[in-house]
Amino acid sequence: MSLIECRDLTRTYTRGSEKITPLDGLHLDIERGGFVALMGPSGSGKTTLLNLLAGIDRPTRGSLLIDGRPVHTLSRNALAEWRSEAVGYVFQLYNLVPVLTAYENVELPLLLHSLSRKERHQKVAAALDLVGIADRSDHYPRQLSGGQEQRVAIARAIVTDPTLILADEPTGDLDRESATNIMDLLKRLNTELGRTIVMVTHDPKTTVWCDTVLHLEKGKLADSNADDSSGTESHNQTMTEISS
Amino acid sequence: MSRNTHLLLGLSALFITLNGCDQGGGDTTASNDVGPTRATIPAAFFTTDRPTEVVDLIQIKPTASVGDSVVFLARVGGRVEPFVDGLAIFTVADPSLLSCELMGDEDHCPLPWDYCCEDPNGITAGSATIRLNGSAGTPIAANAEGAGGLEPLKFVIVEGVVNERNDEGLFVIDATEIWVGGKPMRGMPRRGSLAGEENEGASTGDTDAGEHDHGDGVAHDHDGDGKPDH
Amino acid sequence: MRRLPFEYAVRNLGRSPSRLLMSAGGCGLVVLLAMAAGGFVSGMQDSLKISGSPRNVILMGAGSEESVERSEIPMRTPGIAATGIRGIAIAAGVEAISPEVHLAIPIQLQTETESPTEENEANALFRGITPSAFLVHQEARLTEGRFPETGADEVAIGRLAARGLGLEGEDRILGSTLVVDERPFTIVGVIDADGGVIEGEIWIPLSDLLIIGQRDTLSCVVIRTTDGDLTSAHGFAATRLDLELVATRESDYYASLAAFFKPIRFMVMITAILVAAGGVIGGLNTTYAAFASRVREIGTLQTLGYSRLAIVRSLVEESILTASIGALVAAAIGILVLDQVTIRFSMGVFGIQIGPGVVALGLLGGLTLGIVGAVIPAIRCLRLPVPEALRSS
Ligand SMILES: Nc1ncnc2c1ncn2[C@@H]1O[C@H](COP(=O)(O)OP(=O)(O)O)[C@@H](O)[C@H]1O
Ligand SMILES: [Mg+2]
Repeated sequence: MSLIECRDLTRTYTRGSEKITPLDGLHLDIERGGFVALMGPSGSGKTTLLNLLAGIDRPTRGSLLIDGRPVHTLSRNALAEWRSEAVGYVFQLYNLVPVLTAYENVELPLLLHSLSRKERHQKVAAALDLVGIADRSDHYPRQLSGGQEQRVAIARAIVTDPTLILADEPTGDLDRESATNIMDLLKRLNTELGRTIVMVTHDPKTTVWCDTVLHLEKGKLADSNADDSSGTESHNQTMTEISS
Repeated sequence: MSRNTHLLLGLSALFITLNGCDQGGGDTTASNDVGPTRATIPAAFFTTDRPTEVVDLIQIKPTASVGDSVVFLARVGGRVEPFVDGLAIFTVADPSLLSCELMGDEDHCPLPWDYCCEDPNGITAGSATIRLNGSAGTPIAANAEGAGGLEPLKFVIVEGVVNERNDEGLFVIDATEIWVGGKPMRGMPRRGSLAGEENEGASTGDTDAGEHDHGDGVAHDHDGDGKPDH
Repeated sequence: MRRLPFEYAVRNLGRSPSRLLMSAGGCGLVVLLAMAAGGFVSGMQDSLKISGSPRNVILMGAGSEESVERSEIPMRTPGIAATGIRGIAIAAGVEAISPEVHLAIPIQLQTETESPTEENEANALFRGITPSAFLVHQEARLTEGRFPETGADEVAIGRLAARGLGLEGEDRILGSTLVVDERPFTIVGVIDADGGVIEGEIWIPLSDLLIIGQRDTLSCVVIRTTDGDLTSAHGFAATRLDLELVATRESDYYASLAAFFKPIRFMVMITAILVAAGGVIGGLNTTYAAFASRVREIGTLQTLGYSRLAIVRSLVEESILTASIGALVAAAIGILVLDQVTIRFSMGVFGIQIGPGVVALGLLGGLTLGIVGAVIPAIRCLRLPVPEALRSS
């Protein structure tokens, strides 16, 4: 069974009399442990799909099973609880809370779980260590570089040990070097920790880290062999730099 | 939590303070003076036989002297509180004086037995104080209201002896016998003054004790009390 | 419900010091206003409530029961009352009967620096008295100086009345000069009266006031009874129709005065509430702007799994903190600055009273402002779907 099963997944927005359908009857399976790049022109529905997978938006039609759970049927509160356990979200603009330190930002999702302060500390320290930013744990976001901020954001996304990590253009706002570092980090999470990652990207160079590349166009998968999710069209270039 | 409680307590204390003026307001009658003890006024003061050939108060007041026996017709009233709590003393006013309830709808007195639209000097000149004395020669220690049917606005014929008078309006009568009549009404200012009219106006709620508490707006509601409008 | 750390709310205060200053300041102003209104109402109320003794009876003119200043009764009344009323208290061998004139007269305080002008003229409530006034009004005490002498152009002044004229401290009060009807009067005594209306009055020998007021009638006669039984006084008033009197228990008189001023207190409270409501609406906008600038962050917190309730709660905590800062500062200012500020009024002078109840009212107002001022904008911000919140910059 795939980790993610989308069937006829459709999202329609109504703005006044106008109807926009950024996602239109999508069929998609994503295997456990995959690292999927989601590409496509602007407005093709990438973020919409990611939001549905994250459970912060709900489909207008169709079904969405994640880890066997029918996400499309969950209530708002059940979705929130599910998110806090199963999903880690990485944003293009990091979205760290500016008034909290790196450590506190990473701790934030853990506060939703019944953990002792000590357990929380262990998890936060491990996550910060993993992303290589342990020495900046009491820095505030404004005291960090973009790449460092995104590392903290990734630590925040993985600290709860989610099954699924979603990233919306995580390198979109970073310079080449930082982008490479972030991609290396994501790849490590994928290979060493076995995390399933779905990443929206504009940059074809980042797809070399991924094992599957999906193209969205007007709310549908562009290439017909999309169901072949085990495809390995990209080579595993773990921890290597992209030549510019 | 305890701070919240304190805040709440403080606020409710303030509301109580604000509301306190409700209780203090209005015409606070000194109810704690001496409780009225109506029963002690002897029935012998009252007669149901109306004396005939009686003149109005104003006709005998200027000429009567201390010690004279007098008989006159008047109406209970002339003051905001015609009866004295704890003493058998009450005031009467001459029938020619127009009390509030006999005036049109546009009158302004807070109480029906007020003579607010009359000249104060006229009221003083046309009023008398009636005392019902006990054996000691001083007023009986009881409110006369209700005794023998005495009520504000009712006609009375008082027989008694002039105890005190002066030219400024003082006129004190020690009553020996009182006939209590009925009440007049607008357009019929002498109704209730004749024999057989004792119950005129008596059935109306006009002079219930509760009337004391009426505010301005209610006091004028003459037509709401069931009297026919003339 | 899993809560956001309180720390988050606290740190958010530091996001924009200028906005914090504006919000806390606005809240403080509303609190100060509420306290001023509450202090006004309770000051007026209390001054009337504690005034007048239930043992005293005021004889005043029939028809002017509601205002002793309008009452006129014959000069011979006290003498007749002395023989006509039973149960009059005797103090120091004298019957406690106080013939009085109550008059509001414009006065000016004479200072070395400025000559009296129309501008610093203000109405003061004068009470023309004889020495027996102190036998009848036992709460009144001459705490400084001495009783004013008849014909010597002297007065004694109530503590609050003095403060209302800007006179504080015995050295400054005693010896100061009041100009009444272009005639200088020297203050020779200070009267305290447990905060009652007498403290807002100026006492002057009766015959001096009769001359100033060009009158030959008294305002009232106040009599202290031995036991508070007013039966004889009521009987006297109903008997001496020539004097045209009514007898009123002194404490009841002030209670009815309090009732008379109720509409004014009501107006003051309503005005305060309306102004405060304006403040709330202004505050709502400020808070909304503050929250709206954080919608992406709010969306992020929701993405992490925080419920909308948890977020509203944190925003309200933040707003209550802001409001509390303003409210506490305002309460301190209110207690230090507003308390005992004198208000001149037709019945004399009273002091704004910032008691525990008024402070509580102010703080509670601030708290309400904090809660209401946050809940509405927070709900508005949280109505935005998470994807849209994340999309906003
Ligand atoms: N909440 C919304 N209301 C209306 N239209 C929306 C909303 N969210 C997205 N859209 C529209 O859906 C389309 C796809 O958006 P999106 O998934 O963000 O595209 P992208 O592939 O660039 O991430 C766009 O045209 C966008 O304007
Ligand atoms: Mg997008």
